[in-house]
Amino acid sequence: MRQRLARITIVDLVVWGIGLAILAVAVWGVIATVTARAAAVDGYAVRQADIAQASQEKPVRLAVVGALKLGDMPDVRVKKGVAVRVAAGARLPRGANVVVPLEDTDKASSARRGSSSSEEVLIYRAVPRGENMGPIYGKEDWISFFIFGLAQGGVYALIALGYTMVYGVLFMINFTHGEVFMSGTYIASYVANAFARSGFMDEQPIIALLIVFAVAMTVSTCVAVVLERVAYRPLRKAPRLVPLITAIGASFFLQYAFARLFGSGMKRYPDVKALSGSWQIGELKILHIHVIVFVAAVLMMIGLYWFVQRTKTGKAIRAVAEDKDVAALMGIDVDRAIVTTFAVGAALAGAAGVLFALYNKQVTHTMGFMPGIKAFTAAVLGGIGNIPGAMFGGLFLGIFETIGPTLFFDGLGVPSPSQLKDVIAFTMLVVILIFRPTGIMGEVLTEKKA
Amino acid sequence: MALLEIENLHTYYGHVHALKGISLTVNEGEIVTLIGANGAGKTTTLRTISGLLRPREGRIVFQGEELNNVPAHEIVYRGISQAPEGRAVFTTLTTNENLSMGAYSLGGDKEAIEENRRRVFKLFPRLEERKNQIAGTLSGGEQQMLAIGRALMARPKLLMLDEPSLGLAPMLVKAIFQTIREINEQGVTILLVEQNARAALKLADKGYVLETGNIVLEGTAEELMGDERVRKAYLGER
Amino acid sequence: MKDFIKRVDARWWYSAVAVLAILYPLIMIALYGQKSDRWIQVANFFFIYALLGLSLNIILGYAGLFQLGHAAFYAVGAYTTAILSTQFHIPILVLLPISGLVAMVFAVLISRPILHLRGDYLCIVTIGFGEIVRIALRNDVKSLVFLGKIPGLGFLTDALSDAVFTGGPNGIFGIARPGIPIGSLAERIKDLPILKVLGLAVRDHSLVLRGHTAYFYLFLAFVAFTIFAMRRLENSRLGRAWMCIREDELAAEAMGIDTVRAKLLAFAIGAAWAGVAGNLYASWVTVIAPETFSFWESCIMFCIVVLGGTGSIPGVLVGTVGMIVLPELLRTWLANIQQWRMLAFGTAMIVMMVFRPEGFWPSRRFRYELEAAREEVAGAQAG
Repeated sequence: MRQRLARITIVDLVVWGIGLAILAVAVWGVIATVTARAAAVDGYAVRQADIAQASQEKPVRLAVVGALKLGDMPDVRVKKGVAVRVAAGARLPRGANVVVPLEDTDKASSARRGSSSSEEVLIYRAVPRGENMGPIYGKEDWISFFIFGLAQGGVYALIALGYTMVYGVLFMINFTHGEVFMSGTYIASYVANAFARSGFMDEQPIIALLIVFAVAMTVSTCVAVVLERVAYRPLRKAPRLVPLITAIGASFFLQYAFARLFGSGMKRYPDVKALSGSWQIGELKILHIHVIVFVAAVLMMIGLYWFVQRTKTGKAIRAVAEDKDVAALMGIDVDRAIVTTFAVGAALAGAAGVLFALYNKQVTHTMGFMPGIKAFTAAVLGGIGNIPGAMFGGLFLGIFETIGPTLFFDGLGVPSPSQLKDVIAFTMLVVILIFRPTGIMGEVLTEKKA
Repeated sequence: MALLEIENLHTYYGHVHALKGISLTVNEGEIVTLIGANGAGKTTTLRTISGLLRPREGRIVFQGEELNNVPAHEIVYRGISQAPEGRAVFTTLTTNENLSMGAYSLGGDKEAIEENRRRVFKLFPRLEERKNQIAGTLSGGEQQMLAIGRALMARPKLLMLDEPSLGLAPMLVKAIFQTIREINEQGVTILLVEQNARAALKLADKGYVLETGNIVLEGTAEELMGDERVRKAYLGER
Repeated sequence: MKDFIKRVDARWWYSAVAVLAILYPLIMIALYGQKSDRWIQVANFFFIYALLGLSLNIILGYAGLFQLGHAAFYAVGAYTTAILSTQFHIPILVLLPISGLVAMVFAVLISRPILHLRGDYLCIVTIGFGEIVRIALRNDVKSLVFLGKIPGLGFLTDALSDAVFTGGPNGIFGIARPGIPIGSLAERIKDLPILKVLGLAVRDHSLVLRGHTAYFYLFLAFVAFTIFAMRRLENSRLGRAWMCIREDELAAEAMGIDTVRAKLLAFAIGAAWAGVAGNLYASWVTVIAPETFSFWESCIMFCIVVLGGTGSIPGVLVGTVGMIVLPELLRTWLANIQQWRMLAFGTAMIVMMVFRPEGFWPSRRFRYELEAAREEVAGAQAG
């Protein structure tokens, strides 16, 4: 025991300290976000104690120290005898516990006592404490974040399946998977744009989209199969560093090959009219595209699960994942099962790419990197090698990424928190790998490594 | 008639010369056993026959066809099945799925598969009781039965068994060897690799003794049982 | 070829290379006159990347830890220099060790919790760290305004929301150049023509590095020192411990090597060196931005080490020539070579790993390891 204690170094303590501090800040951010209030109407944010005596006959006069619009971060504090002009929906400054609607106020003539510079306001009504204040993010906001998260997560899950399946059979992280995802999407974007120009996309959206999907999936599959043949198969018996390097090399190759062939700028992905539009349920607005992306992703995941669990090829893949030699003794062509694994993962990635492009509306040759590394995070989260794990990991990451930044950072006053979503994903990756490298659902890995 | 004939087989692991010119013959309907100590090359011989290892020299002839350059997964189509060492069943698949994997080479012939399955369940009634259980949760003996049953699913002409007695209780060993005899009586030729020389020779028609990659003795089971060197080295007599 | 190199006395070779290196700028000036600057600039890039490669070689080559986020340490060194130089006007040469130290502390803090991770997992986490650093630099300190909410630190809210610390996406410019105070000597040598040739200038009683040539000599000296230090390190107790860990971590532990400490030291020393490289780079180009330290930068460093020959000092130098100098040379004859560069390297990496996985100029030890690993794989199939 003493020996164990002695091994805890100052560095460990600092690391744990930082970890706990981050946790504390996150919790605090959540509380601050959930409890933060916004003005429900245009008016003045004040302290209730100041206006308790106000009436139509005897208005209360307060100094106006600032004005806040929608989206402003409050930089003033409401002290005694002071009011802040707020627009409806604007975040309330600290110290304010009531908003007096504009119609119960009047701008005071500021000429009094010659202080020409300061603006003042007259309050005509003793509005009760807490009136006209609401949460900054309503239920509808969180629901729409959630739905976008499901769509995003569905895409991550589809890509993550490719990582997880290849890891399952080869114990290798297929670094190039992000580029496989990119290749199919990129080529398919030409088809999609051609359809959109010719009007076919609007006339026959279903057929057109099916063709786009088929193109993306085919291209991704071909790229992955060639990759496996050229860069991975010759190295199956080499130390683990070696295929990792070829994978990085292949990533370089694919990215720059696309940049050279098709230019390195952003390419537009066409709007599909059939998929645009939204449902309005009360305050809640749900974009069709988000729901469609999520449903399509789920259908494909069900298809994959069926393929792996029920078909002969799926069973062969599982047998190869467990023991290549014994699988060969059963008459299973191991090389073919491995190529099939790559192909199936790539087809899913190609489909995911089209879904991704449908709501992101653009493609570039570097688009594979971020979704790739995030999908890898999702695969690790679910326990790499574990197929249902990758699905849930992807969905979880997608939702976490859309809700998390706002939930954790907004209340802390961090400007434009959604820019930090990548940091959230990376931090999650690092934290999982540090504390639970087998993933939340994965015991498979440890068993197989033995 | 010789079902399997091996001539002057040399196999290497990297630079390690594991088999140094092995020749043996297995006739149709026989039980032939390979005995020897750990590391003598018994498993290597089986792995070379199944195509998991490539011989550098020599010939493997099965039913008059040379197998040297046939890939591992095609060997089973020619009629050779192997129950590998250490009961290597697919631990994440169920008993039934394991058996189906064994019949992988039969393709979509559902009738034949079901008939084979019935045959295996008749030999090993325990497997039928556990048919929907994940194989990793079976006991050691049951896993060995499953490994043998799985190999039988392909309807082999030659069944190769690698140490079926390894790590099993004496009672179970007896039962397994009894079943091996039954399988043989149904017309399946058997090549049995064993460290348990006594049990193996009791069962076998013919035996080969392997030492450090060479065959040092061969003969009928009775001859080997009577041989002084075998009695001393492998049967534990003084 | 190698036999020939061996036959000639090694010392003779070293001296020849040293003399050639020292004379390089003068040769270039003699050959190209006005246009020589470009060639000296190329040499300077070579030195910077050689330093980065050598520093990564400690982590990746010696200790065998897959580090694909080395640009983070480089960035920490460069930004430390840039910030302390522009905001506090601390002389660059004083910042040289400080940058290394800051990068080292940073490396120790982030690598300690991830040391237990296996090969490719470590690789992914280091990518994650590299990206976090880049995004943090781009977002500046505004994201930290929440610190102002801690009771007693309220003043930070204003300070942080107005502060320009890393300069966001634009980065930092106006970084000072290194200078050595020479006192009254300044007046006397002020007008010597040699100063201009060497890219030096006299300012406020200091000798300041201005042109590429001056930096050439600074970098050259530092690279020479680094190679010397690395050779010592390679053959030290610690160096041997690293090789042990790379070959077989379990066996190393069983032999009594404190693997955690050794791996941590690999990260610390590697990061410190990268931090110093960052300092030199920042003072040379005087402008840095977050995108200078992107993931691709880490990849280039990784390729330098791996293509050249993992764990080998000459290998890293060869790798740097291949990754940095070669494209520059080819550009003279082929337009647009820059855009084909990464394509060619991608292909080279695959071809190399398939046919010559040990790299161009491997360390002998690493080659043996590869062979051993191949045999082990074959042996493992024995079952």
